[in-house]
Amino acid sequence: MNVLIEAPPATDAISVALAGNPNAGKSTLFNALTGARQHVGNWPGKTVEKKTGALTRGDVRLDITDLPGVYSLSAYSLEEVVARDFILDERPDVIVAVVDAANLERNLYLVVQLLELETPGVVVLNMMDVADRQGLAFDVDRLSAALGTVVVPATARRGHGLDETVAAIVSARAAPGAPFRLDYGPAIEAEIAALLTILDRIPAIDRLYPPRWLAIKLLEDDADVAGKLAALPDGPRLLAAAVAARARLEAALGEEADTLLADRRYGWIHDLVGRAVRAERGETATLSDRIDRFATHRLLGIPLFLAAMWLVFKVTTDLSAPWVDWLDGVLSGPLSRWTLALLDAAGLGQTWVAALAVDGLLAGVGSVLAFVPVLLSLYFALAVLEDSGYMARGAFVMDRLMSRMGLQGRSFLPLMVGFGCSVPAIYATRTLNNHRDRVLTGLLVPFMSCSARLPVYVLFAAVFFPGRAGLVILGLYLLGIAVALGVGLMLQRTLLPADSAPGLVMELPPYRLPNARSIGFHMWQRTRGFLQHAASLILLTTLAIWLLTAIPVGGQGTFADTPVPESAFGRVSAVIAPTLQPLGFGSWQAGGALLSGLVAKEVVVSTMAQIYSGSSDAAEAEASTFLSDVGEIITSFGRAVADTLRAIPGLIGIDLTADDDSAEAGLSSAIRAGFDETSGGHAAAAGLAFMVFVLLYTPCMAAVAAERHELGSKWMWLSLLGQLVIAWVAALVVFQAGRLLGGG
Amino acid sequence: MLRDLLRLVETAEGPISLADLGRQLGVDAAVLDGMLQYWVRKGRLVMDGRAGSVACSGGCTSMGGGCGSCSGVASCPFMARLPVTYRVNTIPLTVVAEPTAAD
Repeated sequence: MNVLIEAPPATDAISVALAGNPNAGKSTLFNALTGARQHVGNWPGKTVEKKTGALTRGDVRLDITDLPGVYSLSAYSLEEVVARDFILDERPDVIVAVVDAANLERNLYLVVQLLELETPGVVVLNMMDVADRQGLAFDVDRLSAALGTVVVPATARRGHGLDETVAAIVSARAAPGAPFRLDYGPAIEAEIAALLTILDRIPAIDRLYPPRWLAIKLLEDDADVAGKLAALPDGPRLLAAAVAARARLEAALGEEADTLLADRRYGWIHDLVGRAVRAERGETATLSDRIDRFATHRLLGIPLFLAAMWLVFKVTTDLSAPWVDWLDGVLSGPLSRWTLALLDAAGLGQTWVAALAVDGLLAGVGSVLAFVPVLLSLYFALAVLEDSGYMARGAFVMDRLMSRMGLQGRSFLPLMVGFGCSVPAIYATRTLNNHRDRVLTGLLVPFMSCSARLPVYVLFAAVFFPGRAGLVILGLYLLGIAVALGVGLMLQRTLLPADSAPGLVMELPPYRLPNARSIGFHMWQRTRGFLQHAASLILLTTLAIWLLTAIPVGGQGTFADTPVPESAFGRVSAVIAPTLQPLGFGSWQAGGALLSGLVAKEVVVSTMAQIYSGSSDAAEAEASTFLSDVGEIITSFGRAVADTLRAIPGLIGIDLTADDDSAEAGLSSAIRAGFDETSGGHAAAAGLAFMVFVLLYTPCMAAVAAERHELGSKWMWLSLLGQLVIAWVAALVVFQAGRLLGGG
Repeated sequence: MLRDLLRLVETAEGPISLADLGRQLGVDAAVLDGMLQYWVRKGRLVMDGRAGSVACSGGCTSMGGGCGSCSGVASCPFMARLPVTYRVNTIPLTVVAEPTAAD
């Protein structure tokens, strides 16, 4: 709603334009000066807000227009066009340049451009309270002399300096000083002078625009100004002269004229600030600077980052483990029993429907859903790192590592995305600006361990390396990075030779305390993505796997009542099992799980759950009642809470968890027994080899499709086959080395 | 100063933080931001925001859902707040809408 309260008529009205950078306190000053006498609307034909207001002091009335916040008057953005057009077309009597005193150097760039418009001006040095707290002292007279205008220190939000500002506006209008002139140096000044001689011949040009400003804009190749001048008499000649002047300057000084002019402004401002502003407390390092001395240190930065990532995985595995057990227990126990009971009541208890519901959906999708606590823990830890500002430092130090190893440093950003999901990471290679970088990075992305692999690691690390799961998982992530670096270096020396690697500037945000709401939001966003995935692709794959395990091939069984080894799935899996024998996990179960993992890595876990639930003879019909099931859920929930609390001291090495060898979950014991059998008693080595294989082989079909889309078929096939070969060789090395070292 | 800044970025070996760049040039990071923006407008530097948003805008539209869709992207743990970066634009600038003989 527009509000307009007319100020009483005054004998003398001064039109004032308030200009300044965003966040310089311009609107605060506007509100302080005009109070309730404001009109809020839009600039004609623009979506930019326009605020006008009035102030009356004695017989003087100020009609104030608050211009949009801008950093320059280059007419690149809509706000800049609005601000510049207003000043040029409306010709306010006085321009008040509002600057943030604590960021004077940056703010002065706009001030210089405003003053070059030769409209009487006042500079308000706003936010002096902030500058005082930072120990900044200003030589206001020196600033005023250099800028050729009155400089008023103020703190608008406290009402300080308002009277002085009004007085300065009145006197600037009454007695404008000499126009501001920045000396651009002999070469540029000569060209300005030459253009001015032509401008002087255009009748009444100085009544339209300040001629010196026009000459400067012509040297800057300002299209807006050129358009306005083209229609004037002598306009074409003027524009031709400007083209020649720009060419001469570029030839003489080796840079485009607009850059030369901007460079000179920055230099002049830097020199002025150096003379007029003094830091009374000297150069004081902020807390962020002090932390960054270690966090981004050339030697300490990477070990610190690795330690942070180790803590992330420690949190992920240790704190979530009790909740994984609880969810798994609920899904495989009471929920399965209730489902069977319901199906029994519906007369479907002994049919394939019951098998599909319990052995297919609940065992498959349920086993993946049981890992939601793991992902929640991971997303919590990562959100804390992000929100605190540390993740940016992690990207910085790893980027530096990659650059030193001869890889394109900026490739690290898509690679980091690959830790989440390979598919968007491959698409993120589009941000790289040459084909060679895109191909190289796209080939390395699959080696970054995506979050879909995490459930496999957590399950297998808990089975084979209880108590050291965090360390094992961190090791897998590091192995992925190491393999990517190795493959990158190899490709660089063979198929994709390096070209020059221009630099990269990173803006590291200041550290801050993580915000609970922000962390919660990110945890939910990401977990929701995982759940959507589970509800779509994983569900469909689970159904397909169940169907394959239900179809008998060559055995005595019937549909949905056949031993899994004699099902279609078992037969197909058995074909690839021999190729996995040297790796220590040459069973049809492992082969089938890896085969299904080509669809999505989470499916490896769900397939194993389906296979082992289907082939297990363990009786599921424990005697229980609904009430006893509810009681079991509640007591196991309490146990999970207690176990989580006991695990917290473990993060810093204090182990309060009780040794609990009892009740190893059915899936875990089945996996261990299976790997023990195929590895000749070296189950841990085989388990580690299996995790390495999962880490390094094709992430999923969607990633393959993305590679084909982004890199082309040739590179897609190289990537697919290369990953399989690397995964096989790496798993072989791990298993054989573990076997020789006696890893049981 | 502007040219010194560009030269430093072009010759930097590996990444450089805004704060380090400011120390080398003797200017505040806030001033550098304005100068970097100048080179971005001139097409000599390219500013990358969050990698996630770039991946999403490029990937989602062509994927039509699934793992690379926006929901999938949102689930990527490292997606959210990677630092803003400026890099040298190595793609040669071309003249847009050059008049042809037919014009």
